[in-house]
Amino acid sequence: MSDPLLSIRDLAVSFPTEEGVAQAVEGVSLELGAGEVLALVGESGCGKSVSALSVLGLEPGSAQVSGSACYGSAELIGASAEDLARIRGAEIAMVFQDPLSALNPVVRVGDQIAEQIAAHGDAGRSEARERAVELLRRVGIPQPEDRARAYPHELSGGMRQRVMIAMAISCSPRVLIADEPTTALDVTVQAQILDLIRELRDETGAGVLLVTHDLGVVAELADRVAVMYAGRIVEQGTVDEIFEDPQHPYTWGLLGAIPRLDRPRPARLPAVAGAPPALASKPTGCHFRPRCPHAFEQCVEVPPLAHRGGGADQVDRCWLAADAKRELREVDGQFGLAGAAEAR
Amino acid sequence: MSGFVVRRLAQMVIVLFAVSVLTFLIFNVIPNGDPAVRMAGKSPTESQVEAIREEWGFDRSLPVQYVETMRNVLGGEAISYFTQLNVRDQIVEGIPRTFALAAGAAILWMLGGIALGLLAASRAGSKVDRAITVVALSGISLPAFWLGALLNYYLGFKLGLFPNGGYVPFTEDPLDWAYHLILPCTTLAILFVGFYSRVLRANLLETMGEDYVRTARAKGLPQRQVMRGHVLRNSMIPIVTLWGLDFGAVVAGGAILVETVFDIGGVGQYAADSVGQLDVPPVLAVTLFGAFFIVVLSTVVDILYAALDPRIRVTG
Amino acid sequence: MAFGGLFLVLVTLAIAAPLWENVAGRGPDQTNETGQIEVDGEKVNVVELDGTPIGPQWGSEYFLGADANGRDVMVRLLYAARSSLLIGIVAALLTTLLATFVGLVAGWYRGWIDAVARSTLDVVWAFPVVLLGVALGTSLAIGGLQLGPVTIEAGSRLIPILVIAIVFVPYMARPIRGRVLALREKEFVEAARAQGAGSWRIMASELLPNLTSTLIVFAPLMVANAILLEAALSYLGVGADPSWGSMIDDGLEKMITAPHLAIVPGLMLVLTVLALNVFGDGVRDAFDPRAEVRVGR
Repeated sequence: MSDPLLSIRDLAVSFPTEEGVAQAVEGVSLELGAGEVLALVGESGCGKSVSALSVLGLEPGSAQVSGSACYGSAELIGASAEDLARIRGAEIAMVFQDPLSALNPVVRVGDQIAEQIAAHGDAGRSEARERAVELLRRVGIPQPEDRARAYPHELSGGMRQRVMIAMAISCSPRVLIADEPTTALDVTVQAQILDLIRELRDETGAGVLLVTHDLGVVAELADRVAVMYAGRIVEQGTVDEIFEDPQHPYTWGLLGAIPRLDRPRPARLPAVAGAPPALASKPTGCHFRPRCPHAFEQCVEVPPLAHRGGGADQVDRCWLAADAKRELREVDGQFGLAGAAEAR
Repeated sequence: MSGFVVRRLAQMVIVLFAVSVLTFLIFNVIPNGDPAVRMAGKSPTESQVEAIREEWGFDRSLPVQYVETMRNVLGGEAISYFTQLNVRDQIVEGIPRTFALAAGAAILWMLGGIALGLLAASRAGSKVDRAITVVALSGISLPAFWLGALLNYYLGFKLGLFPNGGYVPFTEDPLDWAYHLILPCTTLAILFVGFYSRVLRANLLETMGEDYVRTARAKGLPQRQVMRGHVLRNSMIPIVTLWGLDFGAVVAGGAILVETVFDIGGVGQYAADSVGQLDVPPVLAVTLFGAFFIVVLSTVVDILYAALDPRIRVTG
Repeated sequence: MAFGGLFLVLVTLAIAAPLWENVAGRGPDQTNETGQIEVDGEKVNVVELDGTPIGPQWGSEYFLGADANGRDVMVRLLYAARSSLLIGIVAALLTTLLATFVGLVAGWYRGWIDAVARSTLDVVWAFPVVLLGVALGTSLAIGGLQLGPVTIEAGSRLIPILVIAIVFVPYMARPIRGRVLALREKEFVEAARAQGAGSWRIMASELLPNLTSTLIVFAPLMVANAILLEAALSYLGVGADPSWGSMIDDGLEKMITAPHLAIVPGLMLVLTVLALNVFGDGVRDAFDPRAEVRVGR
């Protein structure tokens, strides 16, 4: 990619736990370009949120972070507090999952937005307040003058998330990191929020790093997708490539687990057998090995992320040959993981 | 919001009424014997007793007694049977002294509590933190009268660093007034500082882990502002209300011991002296004053809490 | 935890008071203003003519010296420990019983019962702790208490126990009521109801066990505060005697010539309360780090 906005290389995050060192993120590398939506997908605990948080230095205090995250020429990992404070909110902004807990309950929402604007020197207090009202209007909140004086608990979930988005775009950031922005919302509201994010991306040309576990959201909004499992990226490609030509067994499992309206109902919701490994004791080699019905001897070696099949820029971490993959991923006429129907 | 206020005020009136009834019962009904004789103090004459009986209505039914008692006390007519001085005058004289002591101590313990709490929280888990905890616990383990007496004796009497008790009215000499108040205010403050520092520390640690603090950092606010506008601001809300309640409790009688030891001559000391003399009218009056003050302050505190934390207003 | 041990040591000492009495040869109330004892072979006045009592002898008699009335300080100290600890612990127990009952009933039934209970608690709580204690203590001290068939004499230790117990009820009942309010919404309560369990049954078998952690957290702190209040009351003359509070009161009069008379009982008091507080803090950390224990002074 030419001139990516955000370039993450070999990001690694670990935590000390009672059972030993938990490696939450292992060697994650991503590039985010202007105007594109890159989705970071995976189940709970795969390390996607931690990765996103670590970019801005917001990981939990006990975490050890190594690697590099470059915004333009600025290195974010290990940057000083002042440098980070300058970039956060103004160049790279973040939207969090649960707006009720992510907003200060005793401060009016308008003031919370204005605070960010004023902190980056963009305006004085009263001008910041006016801009906050305008932002609320922009994200589709009716009667923004009144709403700006409301407290978070007085607003509905959807409106709160709009407030968070308004806050995030208040200083026109070039990068927006959205950590499960719709998970806490109703399905109908989800669609509205996703539309809003798309609009903003179209308007401003910002790059969006979208962290989610919901493939529906990915299909809706993403341009490129990176699939994470147990701390590693196991597959990466355009959204079309991932959905139409998936190369990694875990991806097949994810796709196979989506209930489909155009197929007969299976007796059970298909799922991927087994459970993700504990972060402090991951299997050697390919982490997915214990759950993969297609595992073979070579899988005890860590498969590097490389192009083996699929689109030109598509990469995966599976030793299987491209034609073997094409065969194995068809289960009952759709993508899936063999043996998934018997999964518990 | 105004409905909330009105409700609390109504509650306040009811509680005060109940307090007066209870006080009345405690003094005139529970103990055995003839209340008139008791009220007359030591070795009264028969006519004295009779006069008391009539004035306070002891020869009539309980409700009437109550009314008479309240009329005497509230009407400012009650005379101490020991000192022969008007009770209300005494109380009025004592109020500013008790207030000065309470306010001075309250400010000291709040500032001290904030300082220690911030320090402990910023170094949570370290030796400094543990040391502060020990200091805090020691502070709340001290008996007020003992601490005051020792401080007064060693720092005031022996070392002469401070005056040996007593009170100088502000209008007479502001500097001397302050000088006399340093030791008693400090004594009282020591008793509370520990508690406040620990509560603040716990609040700070809890708040720092909240999502909205992470959001504040994500907005690019400088660390100072995150601490001030979000962490400290939210952590202080419960503390402010506790502070109001404690201040009320101190004025209402929590200062009795310190006042007595340092001879401040405030309302609490008045009550303590009267109790020693079995002198009922002053104790009755001071109890009512104290209860009134506590109830008023707790209502103010509730209203204040609702003003500071909008989530409370909904549940009221 | 070491402090918990310290507390137990103190309790043991207190229990051992009568033993020491035998060793010292005189009781806690036995005055001896005009007596003399042998010191290094010489006869010395227990209380000098100017009123100064003798200092610590570090022997079996007058181990810590005598007070202004010639009483043996060590013996008094141990008996005072008994009083203070007994009153403190029993009062705290009583408070716990009353507060649990009130908290349970108020939180469970709600409605007008809750309103009455809360108002009563508010009223008791509106009284400044010391004043209420003094007020109650005084009126009861004058003529004792007669409640129907129950008679308690003036000067009995039951009076400070009752007074202290009642004074602290609101401080404990409020958090308990809060817990009950939260617990009654839980599924296991609903399940018990569905099984046909009556209110009292539910309170006993479902709510009470879940309150134990709250109670355990409160207990040491209640005892600590009860002991402090007892000391304050006896300092003001309304409590028991001998008690650490009354000893301090006596001792302060002789501050100039025999400061240890006031300092020693005070130290004992502080150590006991501190031990309880630290122990209680540890208990709280173990059980419920979020518990907020508020007791007025």
